[in-house]
Amino acid sequence: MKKKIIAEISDITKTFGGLVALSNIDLNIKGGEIFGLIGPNGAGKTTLFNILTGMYRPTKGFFKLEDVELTRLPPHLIVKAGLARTFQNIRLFGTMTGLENVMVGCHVRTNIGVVGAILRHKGARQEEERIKDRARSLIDYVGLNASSAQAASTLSYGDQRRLEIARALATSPKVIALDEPAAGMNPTETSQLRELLVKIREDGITILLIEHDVKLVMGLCDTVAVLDYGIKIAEGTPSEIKSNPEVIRAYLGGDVP
Amino acid sequence: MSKLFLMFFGGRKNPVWVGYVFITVALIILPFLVEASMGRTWVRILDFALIYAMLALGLNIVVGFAGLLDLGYIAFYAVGAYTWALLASPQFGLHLPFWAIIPIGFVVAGIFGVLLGAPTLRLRGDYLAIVTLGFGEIVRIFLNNLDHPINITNGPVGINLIDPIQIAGVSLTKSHEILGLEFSGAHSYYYVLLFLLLATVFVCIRLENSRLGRAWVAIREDETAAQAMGINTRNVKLLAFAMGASFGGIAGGMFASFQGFVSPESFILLESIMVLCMVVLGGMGNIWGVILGTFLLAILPEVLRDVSGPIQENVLGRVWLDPESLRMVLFGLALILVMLLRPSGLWPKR
Repeated sequence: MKKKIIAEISDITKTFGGLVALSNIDLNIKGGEIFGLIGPNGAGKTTLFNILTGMYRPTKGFFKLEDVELTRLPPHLIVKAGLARTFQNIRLFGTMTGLENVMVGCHVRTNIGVVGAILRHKGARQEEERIKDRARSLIDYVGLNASSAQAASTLSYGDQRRLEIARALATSPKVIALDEPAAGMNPTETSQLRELLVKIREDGITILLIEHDVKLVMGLCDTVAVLDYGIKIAEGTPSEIKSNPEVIRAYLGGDVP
Repeated sequence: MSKLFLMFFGGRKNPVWVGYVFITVALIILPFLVEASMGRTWVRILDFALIYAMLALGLNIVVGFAGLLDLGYIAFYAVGAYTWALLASPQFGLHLPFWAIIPIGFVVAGIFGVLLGAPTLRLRGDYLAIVTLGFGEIVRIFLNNLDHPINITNGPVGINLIDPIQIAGVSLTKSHEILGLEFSGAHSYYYVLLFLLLATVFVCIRLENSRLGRAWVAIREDETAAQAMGINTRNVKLLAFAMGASFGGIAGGMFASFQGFVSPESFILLESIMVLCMVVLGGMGNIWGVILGTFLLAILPEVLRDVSGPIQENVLGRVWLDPESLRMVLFGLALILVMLLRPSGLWPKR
């Protein structure tokens, strides 16, 4: 079965003053796959994420999701178009409960305004119910039932990571971009995360994954791209990447050809 | 809250409404009890506490919910007060009825909220505080100087003879006798202000437990993450500024009509800080905490003024320190103690 390209990243370049953080990056992400993005520290992975999600503006290049160009749109419109993200250093809404965090994720797909909120008419009540139901089912989906009423900042590290994923899923994304979701997780939590990611893929959501845990990436991803010093040095299936001499050089060091 | 009432009234035996009836009756007879025990001045103090509570609840939307530190909030109070003063006084010879001025004040103050909000959208924390502080001063200085070239605000002299609220031709500042009870101006205003405060509380609770309230808190907790969750932070922040300012505007209008007089002096920086103290001391983000904080801070200085003189006479033989200045010292001390012992306010959110 040939999969359709859902996200097209073309010629993305980003410079900070004289520093070239990313140069001419092209990536094509197919619908329904897990696309891994790896590379040594400082390779530009998170910069690329920040460009895709509207936090940074690229110096050059464009990014399309389902043939709609999203480059240079503000973050909230990119989320609305169907790209949600998590953060490398977890950024939950600390004092809100787990459930409320996920409810915030529903914001972009709902639209009751001030008047509706104050009068709480039938439509507003129904929408609020829908938000709650959806948030509860997502909490259930990532397996956080037991702790959803706790303030997010009191959750364990692994739970916070999963809550961030649930919150991103609440925006009903087509593509979900995960920035090092396994960082700092113990082996049990990592294997739970792997199951969750497989489940998300089965539900038809494309995953763009930045990860340092090479074992996780190689076992899970359909396609892997490798960045080094802002340049894409390889792209292919995990087995192709494993035997790519450029990748081995970037990761293990070696003579510069 | 309803759980609290249930506990108080013996659980399942008494339904919740018994608690509400009790509270309602207490609020209705409160001014009479206060007047009987402490004199009419205290009914006025109570009225001012109600005005401040409205003001603090408005600021709580901006500072408590959305986390935008606003040090110039009193400007919106000033805008509301002057809107009322200009539309219902001999200044321009306009005498609009209260039901027309309240919505006008609400809208005008809201517009000023957006005017302040728009240029400060990219600022956070300290920087926002400095700009809002400047905004508050600009408004006050304008009011102080808009007596020339065309006289609008009457400058530092202020505007006098402002119309009180009139219902069916009956002025609320005059005393009336109904069913053998004497209703002074302070009494009548108490009920109007109480009604407006309850309406404010209602709106605040509804907003807090809505999609917008959650968006505000999300921005307070982490603005970048809020953006990444698809919240249009620009619009949602502007809305917080506008809503907060509007409540300040209504409170200002009430202040003008109750006092019958406004001048720029009432809207100095210290007032902004005072309202902020009410919010912070009570518990930022918690509506009931903010009301508690307001009542403490509005009433405590008056109690200290009444009490510190006689205590000195009894204990030390004569009055060593002027009660008027001593009360500010004690007031400051009380603030420091509260912040040391309960850093997140007397009645925090969680």
